[in-house]
Amino acid sequence: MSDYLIETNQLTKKFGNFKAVDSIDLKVKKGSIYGFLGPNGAGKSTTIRMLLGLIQPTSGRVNLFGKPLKSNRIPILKRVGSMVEYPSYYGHLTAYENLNTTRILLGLEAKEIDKVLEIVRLTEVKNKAVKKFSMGMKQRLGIANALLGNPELLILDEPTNGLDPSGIHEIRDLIKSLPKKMGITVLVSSHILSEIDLLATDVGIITKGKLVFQGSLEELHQRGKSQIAIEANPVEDAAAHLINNGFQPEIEGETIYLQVGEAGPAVLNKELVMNGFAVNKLAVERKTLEDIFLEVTKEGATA
Amino acid sequence: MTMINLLRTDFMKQKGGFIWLFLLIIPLGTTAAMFLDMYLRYEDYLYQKVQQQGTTSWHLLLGENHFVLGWGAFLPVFVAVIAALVHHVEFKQQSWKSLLSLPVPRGSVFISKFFMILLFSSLLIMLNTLGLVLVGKLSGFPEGFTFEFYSSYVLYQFLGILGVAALHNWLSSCFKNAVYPVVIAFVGMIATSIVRLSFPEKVKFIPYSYAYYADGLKENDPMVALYGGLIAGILILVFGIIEFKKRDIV
Repeated sequence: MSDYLIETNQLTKKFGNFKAVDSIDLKVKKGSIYGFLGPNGAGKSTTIRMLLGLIQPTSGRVNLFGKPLKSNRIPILKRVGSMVEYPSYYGHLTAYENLNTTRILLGLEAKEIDKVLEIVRLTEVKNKAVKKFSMGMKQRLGIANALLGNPELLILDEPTNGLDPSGIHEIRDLIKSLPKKMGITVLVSSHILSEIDLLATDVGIITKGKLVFQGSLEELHQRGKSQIAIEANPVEDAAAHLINNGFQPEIEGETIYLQVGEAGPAVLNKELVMNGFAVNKLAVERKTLEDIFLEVTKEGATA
Repeated sequence: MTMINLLRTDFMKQKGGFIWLFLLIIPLGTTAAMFLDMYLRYEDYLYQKVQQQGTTSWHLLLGENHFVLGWGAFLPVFVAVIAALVHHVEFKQQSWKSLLSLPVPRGSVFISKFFMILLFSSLLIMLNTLGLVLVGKLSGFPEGFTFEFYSSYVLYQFLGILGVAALHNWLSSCFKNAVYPVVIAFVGMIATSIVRLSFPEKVKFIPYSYAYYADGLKENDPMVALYGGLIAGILILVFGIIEFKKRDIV
């Protein structure tokens, strides 16, 4: 059996002529928190809906737990908990009654409800109608609903959507604790990069329906190589001088960029000053994850 | 087991819902209208009509309900409202996606909704007829109550609405806005009345027409309600299941 809990093969969904999801090979390792990242409308929700069998793929395959979803939908879904986009609930029913409808359909014992209510800390308001809940409470109820039946895989689509900072923090801590506490593998989607950065162990970036990056969070960070930025006068002559001395600078406007490995800042500074150039600025710049993200999604868009 | 659980949860979802008010108000209205009808017209006019036609007051009351009040024509619209309400709970907070992400067969989910529509529609039909019984008793009809006649009225109505129930189970599952399927039913009802007057032989192909044949009076043949309801019900239900199983939940 493969090590991947979720594995898709050339997964594609077309709506008319529009390719919402284009040949995606998603690979989610057991025990990981997989951050599924992409701008709004990139195809995250469509992909997730295909993982849950809500949408039929136009082509390609979905395997969950090493088995094709198409022919094993019911046994697979028994092992999956999910919350797709905004939490769905029956507003006129209480939190307990909402969970009870899911519990009955999963064939679980009543005490399971109290267990998940405890995890998301809604025990005290369990007899309150859900329409009176705050957004954060509804979101937590959605997660409680997804946790019913001890799923091995949890799929959460934008679980922090519409939450205030403290709510986001709370949900994040909750999700982070799940793999350790309960041995659950989590796939969580978001359009907010910092969210995924704080949460995930692995990342997949989707843009315009294409998966443009997939790997560990570390690998993504490593893409952000440092560079040295120099502002020296006159800029053209300074760059020419560096080239003559065996460096490979790039000029962008008034700034000269060099890769960090080429030479230390001190060496470069001395080289330029000793040869009569006025160095106005010299800095080591590191690309933020934001820059990498923009770069990766831009690459994907033009590809 | 799944089916029973689905029915249980579908029933639970209607807790405190508008459907109960609907089931209360409509039969109350028809009962009040029939009571008023008997109160104002029975002794002076309707009873004479009964004697002339050699029928009974109970038959007359049923005819007043079915034709004069228009219950036979309106019932499909009421079934459509029930169907819309049964499905609306899943649309309100986009619950379809979470319901269908659970390990339950989609076909069963769809059939369970159909049964819910039948259950609530049967309640409506029975309450309407019980109201008639009450009106007859209160008006002091001289003839004894004919149980068989009234129970077959209930039964044929039930069979007659099967096609509409199946059609609106599907229609209501398609529209997020619950008003659309109800409007369709209303237009369907009016169109059926026009077709009935203009092309009487064609009306038997319209599911909205079958409940109209349930009365067992006049020239109406309740067998149309029976066969029409059963055939349309089964065909449309099967079509609905096939479509619903394939549908993308977006």
